[in-house]
Amino acid sequence: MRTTRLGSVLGLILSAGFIVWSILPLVATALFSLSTRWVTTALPEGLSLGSYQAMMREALFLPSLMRSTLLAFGTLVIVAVLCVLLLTWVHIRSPELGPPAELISLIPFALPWVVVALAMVRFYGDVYPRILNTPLLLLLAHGAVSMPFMYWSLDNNLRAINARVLYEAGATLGARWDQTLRYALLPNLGPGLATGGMLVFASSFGEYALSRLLVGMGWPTVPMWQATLINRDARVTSAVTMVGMSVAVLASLAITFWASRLRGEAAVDANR
Amino acid sequence: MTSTVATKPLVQRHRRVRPAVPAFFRRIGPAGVFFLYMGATLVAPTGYLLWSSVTGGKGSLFTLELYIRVLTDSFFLRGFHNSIILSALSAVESTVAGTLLAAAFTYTVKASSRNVLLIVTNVAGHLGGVNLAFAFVALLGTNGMLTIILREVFGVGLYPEFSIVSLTGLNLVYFYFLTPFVILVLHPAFRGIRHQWIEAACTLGATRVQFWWYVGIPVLWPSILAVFILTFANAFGTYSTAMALTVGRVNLIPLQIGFLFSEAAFDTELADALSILMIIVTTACVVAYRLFLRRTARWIGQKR
Amino acid sequence: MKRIKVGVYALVACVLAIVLALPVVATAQQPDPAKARAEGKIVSYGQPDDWANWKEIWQVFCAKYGRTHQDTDMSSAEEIAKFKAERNNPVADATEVGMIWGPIAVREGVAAPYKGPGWEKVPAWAKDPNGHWTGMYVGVLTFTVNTQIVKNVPRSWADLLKPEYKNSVVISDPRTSGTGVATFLSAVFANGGNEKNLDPGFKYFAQLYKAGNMKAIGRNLANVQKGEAPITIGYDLQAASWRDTLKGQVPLEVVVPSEGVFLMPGAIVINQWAPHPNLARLFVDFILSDEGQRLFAKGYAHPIRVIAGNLTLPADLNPKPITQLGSSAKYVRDWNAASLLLRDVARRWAQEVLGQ
Repeated sequence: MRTTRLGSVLGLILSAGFIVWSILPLVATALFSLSTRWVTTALPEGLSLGSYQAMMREALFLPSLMRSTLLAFGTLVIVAVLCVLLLTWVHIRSPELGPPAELISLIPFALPWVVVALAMVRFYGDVYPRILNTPLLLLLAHGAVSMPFMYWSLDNNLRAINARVLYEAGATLGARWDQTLRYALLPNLGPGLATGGMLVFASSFGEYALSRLLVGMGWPTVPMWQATLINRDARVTSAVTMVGMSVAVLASLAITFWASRLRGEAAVDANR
Repeated sequence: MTSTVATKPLVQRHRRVRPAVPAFFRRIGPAGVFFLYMGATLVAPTGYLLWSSVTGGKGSLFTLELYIRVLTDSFFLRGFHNSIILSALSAVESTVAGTLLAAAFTYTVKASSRNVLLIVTNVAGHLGGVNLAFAFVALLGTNGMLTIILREVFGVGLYPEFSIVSLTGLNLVYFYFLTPFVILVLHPAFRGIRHQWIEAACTLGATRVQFWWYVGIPVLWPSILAVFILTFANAFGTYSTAMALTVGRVNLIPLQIGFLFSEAAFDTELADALSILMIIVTTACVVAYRLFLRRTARWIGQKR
Repeated sequence: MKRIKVGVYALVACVLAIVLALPVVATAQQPDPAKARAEGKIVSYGQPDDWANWKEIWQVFCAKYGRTHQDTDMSSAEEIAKFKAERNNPVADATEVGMIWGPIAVREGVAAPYKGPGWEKVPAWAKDPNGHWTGMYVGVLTFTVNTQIVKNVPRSWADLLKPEYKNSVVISDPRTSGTGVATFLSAVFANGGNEKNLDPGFKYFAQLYKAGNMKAIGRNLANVQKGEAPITIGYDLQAASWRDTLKGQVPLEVVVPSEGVFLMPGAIVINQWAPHPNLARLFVDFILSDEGQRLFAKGYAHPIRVIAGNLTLPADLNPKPITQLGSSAKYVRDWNAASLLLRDVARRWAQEVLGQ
């Protein structure tokens, strides 16, 4: 799109400014994790990789990373499937389901997740105790509380591509709902699934309250492991934060890649 | 639709072919999976909270005593007031900034760098809770990196007037993690602005400002409004970041709930009542969203 | 006639003796080591590795019985709530709670009574008469001062109110932290109050807050390490471990306030529905035994039996304790009265101290 000169310059300045602002806290954390001593000075007095070495010597380093990554991707799959099914249906067939779905999807935001965790423990303790303290419960809980992140970006996406029009066009050609979904809608849902997916992954990966109260150290995730290091050396804690950032970057790259393939696949199918 | 051929109407023919599924299930369709899942994992425990708050958790008679206690207590009312103001302010700031940034990403940045920008945005929003609080303390605490640099290089003294542990400091931190959220949620909506519209408007002599005012923003308006409500709700329910940063120095409702099952109080029923009240506030948001959407429908030219 | 009377009295006396002894017998319930070995791993709440040498204590205990251990840290209220909620499918066997939470655990019905061989050796003021909760060790409330930032080290609670310590004193919030509750109680006792009269504590902290000396920041190792917490108030056992951890980075001095030593115990509670009850009871026996109590000392905690006087630590103990208990230490005697404190502290702290 052609923007005015002024517009482009402003836009670039804004974007650059935002990037700098965003990475400042990360820089502070990274510097602290690399510091030898940083008490009253503007910058650390010295740098060393000691805390990263200490972190990698921890027994829980790899297992917790694997658990958190698995959990986050599992959450992503659940949330993506449920949201796609729900939102395409709401946009196409039953808009009246919109308000109740919106309300339900906002509950995880309305409540502190400690409350959600204790409510689940108390509720399932009475209704279905066998699921208590299992990783399955944690996965289901993560799916529920991460729903808002995917819901609203997909909602915006579907509104933008005018899903109803696409559906009606497909219906007049004799397509069933699921065919419309697969060939007309899904290829256009890349942006929504990508950004929503990134948010869901990040939220699940860094989630602490539910992990602590639903499974605890029986199935330690990265935040649980990080909590055990809090009183040992805060620099190692910061090192774990940086590792979490790196995983978020890698996962985001993967998610963006898969989302962009949606469009590509459809193009291939259409040419069959 | 008239037809000389004596065949059964199209609608009736279809009805015979479809299985006899009750209308309810047909309306819900595959969306039912979502409702079942959320019902079992989230709505049911929330219902348990509601039940606990009106029966004292022991199955006694229905009573609104806890709610009356909360709503007539100026302490909790101040907490709601602070929470709502903080959330509203943070929501407005991050929605405005996020919208502008999402637009900047879409229109002034090359498509190849856009994904990189989005990923950096996501990483920034990834910091949360204790980690975010510490990062900001390391940055803007009394011995923080920026505090010292500002003091020694620019001669600007932040303290003692400013403190990262205050409503202002919280506002800053909320702005930090909400803006990436807005950008990422709003970004897909920009696909709704077709290039052809922009070019058509330009050919018809409209300036860019006119395009955005008459076409662009109205098209994006439902999404922007939704994101605003969402950000408000997100900020309202934030607990771990607020607790890690202020440790209760600021009177916010999520913190008050946390105190009720921490180390100096044990009142799960009161906590449940406060939680239900928080949900009521969020419900009011959704209702306000729908109402506002309908009122501005004419401006944005939609029937909904 | 007389012999029949004596016989009847004797019979009644025997029956009475049996009836009265039954509760004692019931709660003795000596754990069966064989059964304990058959039980799975032992699970605890609220006993993190780096507190009071729990890591080594669990290691030694688990080596003794060939079992493994798992702990998840949470607040006292969460622990009790979880015990209760998980009763149909329990996983945890024991938990450490703040002493004022012992009576709450009893009230909620989650504590299993147990009086093992070590029970007698715990002083009466540090345990529940029915064995529902038992103190294991105590900590002393101290000031931890970053001597790089603070040149004039405060020596008393009264000192902390001085204007030179503006924005320097970091405490844990009593609403969210057991250390915070202990900090509050120690100020209560230092200013002439006790567990039934908490007003001096509220007055003191209101003063500290108004003077602007109470720094609004979390009390944790990260903030101390980053130089954001010049003076912190907490347990000596944690101060000592922080001092060791930050050696060479941040110079820390640990000060016992001159108003006197204030002790605060930590209590162990066995889950009413513990899935491994024998292991849990053996564990309580272990931590009250000579060996277990000495291991607490290695983590800078003061074993409760040393306070009771029935255990002496070697003079050349390594590491050396960081505070001396002395003979005039103050502590709460009536924990039931103290637990009523829970009803007020949250509200009064917000209103009287923070002015919210």
